[in-house]
Amino acid sequence: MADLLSIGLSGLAANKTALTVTGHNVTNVNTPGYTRQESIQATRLPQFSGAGFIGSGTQVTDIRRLASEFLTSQLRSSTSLNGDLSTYRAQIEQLDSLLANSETGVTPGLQKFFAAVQVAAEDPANIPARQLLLSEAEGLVKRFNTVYDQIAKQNETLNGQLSTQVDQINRLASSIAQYNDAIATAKANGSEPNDLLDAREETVRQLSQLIGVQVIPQEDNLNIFIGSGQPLVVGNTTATLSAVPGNNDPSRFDILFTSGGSQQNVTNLLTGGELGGVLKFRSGVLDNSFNALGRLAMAISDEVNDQLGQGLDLRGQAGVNLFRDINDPQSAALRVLVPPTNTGDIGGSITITDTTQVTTSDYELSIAGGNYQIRRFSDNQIVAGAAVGTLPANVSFDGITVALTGTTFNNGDRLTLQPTRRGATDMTRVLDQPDQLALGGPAKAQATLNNRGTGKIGQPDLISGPTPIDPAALSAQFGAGINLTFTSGAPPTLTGALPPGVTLSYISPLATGLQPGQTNTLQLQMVNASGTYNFQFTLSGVPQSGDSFTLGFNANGVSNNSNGLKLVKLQSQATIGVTVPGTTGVSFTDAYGDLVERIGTLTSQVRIDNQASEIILKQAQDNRDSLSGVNLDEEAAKLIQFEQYYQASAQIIQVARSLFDTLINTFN
Amino acid sequence: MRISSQQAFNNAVSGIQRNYSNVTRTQEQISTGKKILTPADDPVAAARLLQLEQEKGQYDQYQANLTAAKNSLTQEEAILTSVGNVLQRIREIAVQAGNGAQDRTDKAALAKELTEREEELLNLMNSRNARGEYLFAGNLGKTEPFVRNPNNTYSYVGDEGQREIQIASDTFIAINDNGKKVFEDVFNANRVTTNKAAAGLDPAGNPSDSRISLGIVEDKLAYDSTFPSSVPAPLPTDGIGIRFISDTNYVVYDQASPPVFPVVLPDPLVLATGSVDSDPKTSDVIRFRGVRVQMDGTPRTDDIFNINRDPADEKKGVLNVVAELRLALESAQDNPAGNLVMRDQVAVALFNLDATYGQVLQSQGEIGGRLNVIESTENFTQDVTLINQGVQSDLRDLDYAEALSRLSFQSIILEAAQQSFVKISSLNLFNQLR
Repeated sequence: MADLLSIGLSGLAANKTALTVTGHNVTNVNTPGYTRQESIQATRLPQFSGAGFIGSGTQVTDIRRLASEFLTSQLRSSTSLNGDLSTYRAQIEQLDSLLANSETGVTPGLQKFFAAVQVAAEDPANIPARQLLLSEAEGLVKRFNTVYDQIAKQNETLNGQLSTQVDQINRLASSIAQYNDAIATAKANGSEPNDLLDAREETVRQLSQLIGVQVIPQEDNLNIFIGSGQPLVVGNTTATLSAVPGNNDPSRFDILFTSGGSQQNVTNLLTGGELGGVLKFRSGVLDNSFNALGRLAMAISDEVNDQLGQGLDLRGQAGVNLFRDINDPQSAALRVLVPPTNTGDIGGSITITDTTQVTTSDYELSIAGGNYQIRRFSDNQIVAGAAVGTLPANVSFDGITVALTGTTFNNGDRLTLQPTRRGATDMTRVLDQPDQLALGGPAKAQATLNNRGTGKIGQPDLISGPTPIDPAALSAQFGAGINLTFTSGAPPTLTGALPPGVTLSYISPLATGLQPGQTNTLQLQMVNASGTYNFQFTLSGVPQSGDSFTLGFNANGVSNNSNGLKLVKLQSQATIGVTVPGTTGVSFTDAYGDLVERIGTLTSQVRIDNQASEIILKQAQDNRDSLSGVNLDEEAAKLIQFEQYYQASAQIIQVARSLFDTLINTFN
Repeated sequence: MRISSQQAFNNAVSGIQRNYSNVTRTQEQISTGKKILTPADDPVAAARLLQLEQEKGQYDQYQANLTAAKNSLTQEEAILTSVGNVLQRIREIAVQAGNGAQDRTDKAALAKELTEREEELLNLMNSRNARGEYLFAGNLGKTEPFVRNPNNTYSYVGDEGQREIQIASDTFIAINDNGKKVFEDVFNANRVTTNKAAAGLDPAGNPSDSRISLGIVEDKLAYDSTFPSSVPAPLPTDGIGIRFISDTNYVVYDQASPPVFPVVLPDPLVLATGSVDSDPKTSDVIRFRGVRVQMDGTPRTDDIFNINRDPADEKKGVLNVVAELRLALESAQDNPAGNLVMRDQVAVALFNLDATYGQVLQSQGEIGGRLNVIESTENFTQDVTLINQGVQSDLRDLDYAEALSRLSFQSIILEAAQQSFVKISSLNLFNQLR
């Protein structure tokens, strides 16, 4: 009877435990990371009697967690992937709509600017039309500045995000270390601390949302590694991450990994999770957008300024810059960043020599082994390099010239070269006098009124010359006009007294003289103290011997729009990325279109990737929940089940009692 | 498969969310009318749209330029029409002036009207546009192109600039003409000088009363290529001599190589011979190598007349033609000699007026041609703009029928998901435990 009583009692205790576990499951149905538990029962040790082994009841041997290491790690990696992609997507979608928006994008500004150039060219003496051109130039500048500001603001936000994410990562890492410690202590008792394990798994999952991690279980500990194997958590010790202004570029935060006494820059090593998404967006998209936009702004400023410098304004002066000179010393100096860690004094500035050749890449100059070399980031090519002994020097490549300065050049010193980064914010309109817009050409041609033939001379076109031109020098050289007389011969030629420094040559159809009746192209080269000017003009019709033509300085030619028309042509000319003149290169609008298309393509790609990662994450979550999640129906059934078992066990005690009662009553 | 309660809820909620986001997106497309909301929706189409947008901007600009060109050319044409009318009236005056029956008073009256017409012409040729720039000054828009000199002549002080504007991607059209081309670059009929170099004696021993008229170049080709000329450029000393070897017969020779007189015909240095009748009442016409002169009076043996090139007077602007006619009328004499002077002047003026009028008509013709180009370019621009819009619309605009049916289908799915969730979530064993 005592054993029956004890069997009944063991049943009561076991089923009560089972009910408790079920209750625990029911109440934790909504706890993040909770893994359902079940109690495991086994028979107690039987007692031996003459009749054999007699069972002695039941006992709870274990409270088991229904978890799978494989499913958990799958969930972790897909969480990390999804965190990465959805952060990247959120960032790039902002940029995507910024660039294409008709209110903020650059295309409408470009369009309006060139429309204003056309209006001004239609009537160059009209001051209101010139004023409109100035206003639209300002509008274009504002567009560039605004887009730059927006991207810069996004960059700042990214810096803020990095700091927050790093703080969270540090907090989670120290929680994991504490859990490692607590679990090791709890396990010393020999049984699994289920809820602690759940909490640790959940913390690791949260960490993998932020950053890609490798989890290596070691005895009771989970060790966490990030990047290329940097130990974030080992046992109960943690390393810390910190986000600090970058060494190469203070506007971009770097991530430092501090473990013990040593510090390492891990910015380029970290992948996965929200942090990885931010870093990937910044290096893959944001930097390039800054540079593409900057290059476009610089190309527009430079091409327009150059063209204006080839013309005359309403006052008869050489054209002045409409936009600020892209090689303004202040801007040139800001393109070279000197890391504070340098031990020498190398420095420098970048001048843009040819905007059609400039790339959108940044560069790095590094000194090692007594040599310096300059590496292009976009394709990791070495574009220049020499022995340090040749420094300081001017180094030219990809349409830019780096003027290096300094006296001490030490191994390990570096420079970050950003030729185009600030182009869109440095763009400024500097001209505010509408009459100073140079829409007129510097020279004109006239046929003498008393010519007998039908010879017609075209207006001379300045095809090359110094920028800006020197009207005083040109005017002095032209004097009262260069008179050219048609002289018969085989072939006929134009003759006249050419001033010193002036040469006349025939371009087409003959190189030696004129072909009357056809359109002849001639070139007048004028060399003077201010440079070499090449004018081309045409002569058509049939002149008669003795007919003369005069080329002269275009004084008072206020209605001349030949330079204005050349400005108009810039709109559709290939001006950017010209590697082979005449075949490669794109126009201003197409350069911007390229940027929009690139960002658009990346965005649509990441949208698809993100949708896929969401599905993968959902599946991983499903798989884990399918095994480890609590099902209330199941728990309800178990409640009923264990309640019945409990009642049955109680009934055993009842029987034992009645057996005992029966025995006692026999003595009454 | 075992489903946990959490999973059941999560699945249902994420399904509803997905459907809801689809519905919202379709709704956004419907409310904006665009199927591409950001470039990422279709990067290729988005880049193409930017290009099309720029093209559209350019075509809008070309359209504006076409209008500007049309305005400018129409204004010029209107002025040229007025100039033509004035020239017609001046021609009538010239014809009247040539009428020998008119006396000095009549001519003075004609001169008076001519003064007014001359002023009118000057004003027309110095016309300005709405912004005060001279239309016919070439590129010197702020410089008055035609100025009156103190000696009753006029000069053109503009240049030969011609302004072009862009009306299509590779088409530029001139929107003005300079005054030199329209009004000045006209060959002068009277681009030779004539004079009587020596007079023979009549039987009474008095110098002859023969007279040579002003010369008129009738045949430009013959004059340019065969009339004596220096190389490379003609000089005022180039010319021919006409010498009478009897009272009716004359020989023509090059002044640079005269034959020895008395000549014995044939002489290689004698370029031509001819004769005039002996009636002093009739004019005799001598034509030689494109030049026409008239001989009046009675020529005598050894009369020598020179006809020389006048290379500085090859062209004569319309104002100078009119001014010369006016001066001639003002100083007209009521005698036979005066009548001859008048006749010569009127003849020259008529030739020159016709040439000028022809030049103005030609300029009008050119303007008409340009206006035609403008019209056809306008049509082309409108066509391209339409096609452009069509492509833009294909790429960007929403197909409403498709979008609305998609919206209703998506709404049905969303509602179904919501209702089924409510139904399934109420299925719970705990509800049955009483």
